[in-house]
Amino acid sequence: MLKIAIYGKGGIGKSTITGNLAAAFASLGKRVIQIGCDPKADSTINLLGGEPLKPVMNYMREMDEDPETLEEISKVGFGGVLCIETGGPTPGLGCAGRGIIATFHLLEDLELFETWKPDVVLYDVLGDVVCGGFAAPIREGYAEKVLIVTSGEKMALYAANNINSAVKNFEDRSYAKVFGIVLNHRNVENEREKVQAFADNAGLKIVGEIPRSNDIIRFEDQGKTVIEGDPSLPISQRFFDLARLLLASEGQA
Amino acid sequence: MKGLRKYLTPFAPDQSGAVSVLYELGGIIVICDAGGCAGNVCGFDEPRWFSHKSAVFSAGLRDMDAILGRDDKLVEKLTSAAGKLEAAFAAIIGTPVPSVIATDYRALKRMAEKKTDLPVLTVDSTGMSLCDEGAEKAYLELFQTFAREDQPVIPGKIGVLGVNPLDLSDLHAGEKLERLLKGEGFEQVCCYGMGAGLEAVKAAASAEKNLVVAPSGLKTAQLLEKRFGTPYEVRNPLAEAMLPEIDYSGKKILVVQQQVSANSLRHALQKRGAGEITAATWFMKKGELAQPGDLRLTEEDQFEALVKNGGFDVIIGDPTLWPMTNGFTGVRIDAPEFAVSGRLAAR
Repeated sequence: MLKIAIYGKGGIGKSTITGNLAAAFASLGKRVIQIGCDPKADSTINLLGGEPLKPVMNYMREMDEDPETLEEISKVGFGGVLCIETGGPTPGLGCAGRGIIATFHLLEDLELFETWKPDVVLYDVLGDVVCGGFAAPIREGYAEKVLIVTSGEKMALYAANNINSAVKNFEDRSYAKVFGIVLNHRNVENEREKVQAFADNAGLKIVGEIPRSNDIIRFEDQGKTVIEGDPSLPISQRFFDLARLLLASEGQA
Repeated sequence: MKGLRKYLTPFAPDQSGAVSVLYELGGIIVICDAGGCAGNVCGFDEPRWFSHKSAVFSAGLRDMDAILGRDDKLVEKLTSAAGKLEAAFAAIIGTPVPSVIATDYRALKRMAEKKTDLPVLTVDSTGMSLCDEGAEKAYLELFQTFAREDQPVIPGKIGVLGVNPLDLSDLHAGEKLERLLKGEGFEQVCCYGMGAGLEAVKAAASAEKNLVVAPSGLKTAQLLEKRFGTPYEVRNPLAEAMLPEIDYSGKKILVVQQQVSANSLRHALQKRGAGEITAATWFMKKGELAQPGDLRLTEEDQFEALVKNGGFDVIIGDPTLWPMTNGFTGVRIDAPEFAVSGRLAAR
């Protein structure tokens, strides 16, 4: 099973990239689960025709008891991707990190992996590794590979560096390893060079490169990924390339 | 009102159940808390604290340890304790603090095993469930860690799961079960955690059969059946002794006990000609052990309504329930549950 966590600065395009990767894996015939780990709960929206999914924390808030079935907290989206959102507390209250942990325990109780038997699991994580809860997706038993999404912007690279350092700190805990960087272009001057310099310095590889694309925006307006909208587009091929590279790393190609 | 207790004290939480399972096994037990949970375990929930020595510690977490996630400090303390004590293993028991800050027990285990050279068990109790759930997790962790594969089956050997003071409310439960089971023809009886120690756990695969005397032991019996093919039976041979010699024939009876004891009492009462029997429990209600109409109690109001509307002739339960049975004119039979009343009932 290929299990990947996607981290990066807030607003850098993690959910767009995760949703498109999920759609690409699904189009390659894989059984996929995407878990949004962000209180905003919008990770999977483009796999679901723009219709939001009820996050696990909303379910818990309304029902005040654990769901008994997976169907109560998930929806099947494009290509059969099983979509789950952890959601979070009312902004300003409670503990979002704890929400992620509680969701993961719940998914274990519901035997998500045993019953759904996925080939690929994607965790789309809020911003940075800010506390134990947000590191949960890279703990033993969860993701084994980390993708760091960054542009050439200074603050995005700063966040990428923080994430890489956090993952390195966890070496003695047997956590996930960074698989590589996904460069999401923002039309910054010398963007490739800047990100390449960061990657070289951190000992990482740029494993995917997503050019600025109006097609992404156009299809997102329709509640779709570009893979669903038009898989033949060059931008869609970038996601297929990354998906194939990840599958090959796992011997699933 | 939901959750309001007017008569009953709060029941022992899951970390107390976990400690109870491991208490006699010769390990260093670290309760991962600021001190209050360890105080509760030692002062209230573990009756053996006053008679049996065991290395139970509090991690002594402070605000900054929680905020900064200083797992390394806990590992350091554990390493220091391991250097001073002869211990067969170390166990880290969860409480609300690590639960809320999402402590990673797998990572703690890995780090602590590297530093101490001891096998390390971790139980992710949260302080938000009841003792039987903590005991269930501890039994699973214990047998998953220690039970060895290469043990030939010894005819006449029986393993007993679920033997701890919180589930059986008897400090001599181990000895009594051994006597009763030997009377049934078993030559070797291993009451894990009360009488039988860590070596017996390691040799669990050699039991011809396992006996589950409380719901907390059921999942482990199922695990051992899956791993070693050991069949299991579910009943508490100690339960029948709770029944005084009165006429039960045709009587409508409510039994409030942990589920295995309740089932064994039901069986004994049926043999004595009792009429309709309802089993209820304040603790876990396993579907595979329940009969139609059996109940999981959570609220005092629920129990009061059950007694008021149930038309029972006899109620068997912990004596601390009796103030909630005003107006009941039948027979009340005392069957103390330590997990319900602690030492109140024993007083």
